[in-house]
Amino acid sequence: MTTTAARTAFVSPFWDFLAIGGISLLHYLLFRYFMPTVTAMDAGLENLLGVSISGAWVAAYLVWAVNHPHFSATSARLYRSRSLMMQFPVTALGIPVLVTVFALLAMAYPTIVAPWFTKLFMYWSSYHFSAQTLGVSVLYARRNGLTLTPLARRALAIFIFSTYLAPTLRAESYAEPSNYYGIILPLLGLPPFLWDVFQWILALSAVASVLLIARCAKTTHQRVSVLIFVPAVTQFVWFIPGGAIEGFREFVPAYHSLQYLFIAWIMQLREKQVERNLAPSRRYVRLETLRWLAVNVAGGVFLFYLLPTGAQQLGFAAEPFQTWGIVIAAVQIHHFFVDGVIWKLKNPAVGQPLMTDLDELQGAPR
Amino acid sequence: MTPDMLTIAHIFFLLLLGIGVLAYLLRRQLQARGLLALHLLSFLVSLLGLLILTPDRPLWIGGAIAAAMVGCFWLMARFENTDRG
Repeated sequence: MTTTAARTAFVSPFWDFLAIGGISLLHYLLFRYFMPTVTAMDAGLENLLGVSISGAWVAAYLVWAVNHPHFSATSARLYRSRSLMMQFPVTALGIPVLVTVFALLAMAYPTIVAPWFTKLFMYWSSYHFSAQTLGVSVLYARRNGLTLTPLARRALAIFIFSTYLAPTLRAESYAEPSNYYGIILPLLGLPPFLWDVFQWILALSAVASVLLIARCAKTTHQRVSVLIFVPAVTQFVWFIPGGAIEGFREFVPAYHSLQYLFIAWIMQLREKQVERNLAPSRRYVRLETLRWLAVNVAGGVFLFYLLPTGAQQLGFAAEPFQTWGIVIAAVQIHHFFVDGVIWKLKNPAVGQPLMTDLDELQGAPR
Repeated sequence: MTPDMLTIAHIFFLLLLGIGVLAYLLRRQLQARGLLALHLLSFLVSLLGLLILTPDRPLWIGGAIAAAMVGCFWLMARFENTDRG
């Protein structure tokens, strides 16, 4: 007999838990209670691997294996066919032009345009994290057989988006501006009491989310899988208690990317299988996974190495280091636009393939 | 306004004009959601322009523009998907 968690998971409750945020929760707990300094993490890695490796080194290399491929996966998904591009012509064709114009302006005016272009990227980045967190939570609720009422969904959304707004607003009340690739970011100078307000909103929406989701489960006579709550709890840990922990916060983008790649991987396997009418098999899953990963790693190198390197040759007023940061921001802004369009669970072309699981893709007996 | 700011203001004006003209020329080819997407883009470009071109604005205006940008991100979630519900 399959459990609720097993039916809800794409691979298995354990692997799903790790991929959609569990691994970051374990990392956080390790740092919070057992290894509270970066030096201790570096020593821990040395003990584990027998060679001297720093956490910063691991984070720096992880971006090429996880972060950058996740951006590439989005572009590959939109630009893989002309018909798909023509479904979203403004996003597919107009946005790259607009983002390029903004990036060129930022490179030409590094003290006037670049700070606000970067600020746009910063604001949108955490918002984008929140939208994905909500989407993954709703996806798991759907796989769990739960239909969230609009009120339950709203309470969950308020909780998730508050974990983004609270630290963002708090950062805007600091006295010292922050620095991104040598670009000094302006501050809005908001009053510090907003942080207190959002702490209350966070607490109330957390309680409301749990109660309302439990009521949905009672109405539909479903047992609630813990996987539904993992993305929201994880994002809370990323941005609120974990946001100040050095040696943890550097890894948060990688954990967000891992969550994305996990869902996108299943989507890729299912869509290709249906499009080409391929028989389910372990061999198909293995080969397609390897091919898809290789394409996305190569795409990441193009987006985050070749593009910035090429932009540095244009000779604009921005310093080479600033140019690098501007191009990286531009690539990510493009990703935020595209992601908001291509992942709509209400669209059957997106929601339907995401009701499959690895066993079905491999043709494994149930 | 410095000469640089004036140049940037002109470029933003041309961008907004360009998006408007594009929306007009493509009004029969694009679906309603595509046209709405173009208007949302204009809105985002205008907000960014306001932030860049008004450095000496009162504090509350900066906060209001930032809040409008977050609202714009929310609208962008319906970007090119407005007819899908």
